[in-house]
Amino acid sequence: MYHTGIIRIITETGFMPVYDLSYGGLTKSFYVPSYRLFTAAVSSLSGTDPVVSAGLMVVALGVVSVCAIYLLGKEFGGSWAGACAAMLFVLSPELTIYTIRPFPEVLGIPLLLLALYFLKKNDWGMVVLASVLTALTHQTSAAVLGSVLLLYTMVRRDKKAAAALLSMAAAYSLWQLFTLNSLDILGMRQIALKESGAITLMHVERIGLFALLAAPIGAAKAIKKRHWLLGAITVATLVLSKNELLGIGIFTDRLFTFFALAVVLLGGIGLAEIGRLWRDAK
Amino acid sequence: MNISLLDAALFSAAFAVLFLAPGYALLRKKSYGAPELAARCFVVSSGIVLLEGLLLASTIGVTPLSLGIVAAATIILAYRSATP
Repeated sequence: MYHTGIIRIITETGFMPVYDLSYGGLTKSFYVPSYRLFTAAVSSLSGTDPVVSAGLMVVALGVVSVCAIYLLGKEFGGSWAGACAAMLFVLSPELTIYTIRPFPEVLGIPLLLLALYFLKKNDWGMVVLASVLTALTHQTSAAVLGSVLLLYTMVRRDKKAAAALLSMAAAYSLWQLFTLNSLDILGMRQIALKESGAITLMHVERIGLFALLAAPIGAAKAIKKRHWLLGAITVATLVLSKNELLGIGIFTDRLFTFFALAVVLLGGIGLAEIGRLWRDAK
Repeated sequence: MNISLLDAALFSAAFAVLFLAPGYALLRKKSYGAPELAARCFVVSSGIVLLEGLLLASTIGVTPLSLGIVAAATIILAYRSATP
């Protein structure tokens, strides 16, 4: 509840505290501000208690997440693929576990999905704005989005992705310089302590049975249609969630949640394809 | 955690004012579909909320009055700029 604790301090004092509540309250805050400011803003304006606001924020942002995965799925495989991806998203325990808690993930995930959606729609302004917001909302989501944008830029030489990547790097750097007076991300407590959990078969099962079964069909369809962005999302999230193989070993279990997003998208395309084949066969 | 109907209603109103209304005021002339318009309103409004929050929390503090004034001013300015 330390995020909610900070939100309460913001609503009571009006200002963001310099020191964080986690790690004994002795470290300068290395968290990015958006989620806490957003929830504090809604709490202040509505007069509801920060704990209640944080709980309701999860519900509101969960709705936005479903809308965002529908839009992204629709871009890759049409309306049915979007609807199926939204259904698989809601059914996936791995995703619901990380979207029912008042943590920055609940805002980071929809912003990440919307940044990718606007990249697919070739909308420069919106992809840059959504990427900057993601960078200032949740570091893990930002790491995933940055990796996807980097991979996509390298493969497709896409200027929008490069611009979004540079914008989010600049925004994050400025924030860290402002709060920690340093650009050293390796010195952050969570990275220095190598916070991580091993990925087991349980994590894979938590993606959801239907998503796992339909994803290979969706992957085949995506390869056939040359969906480079979806390929970049899948590869980047898979590599990040197995980053111990690169000698990093940080946040693997949390990063696996984003691989679950990729599987859900592929599963949505796969289910829509199964439906199409079934309709054609009738 | 007990959430009353009044809490939920007040939260919904504040969420709509902060996270959707400025974006809608800016984008209302464009012919987007409903889900896409909602997505754009959310991202644009989120950017405005972050800017408001950063400015207010570093100067006069995030209070209901300061937020209400800035939110209302943002919506009015956006609406006027979208009106020919």
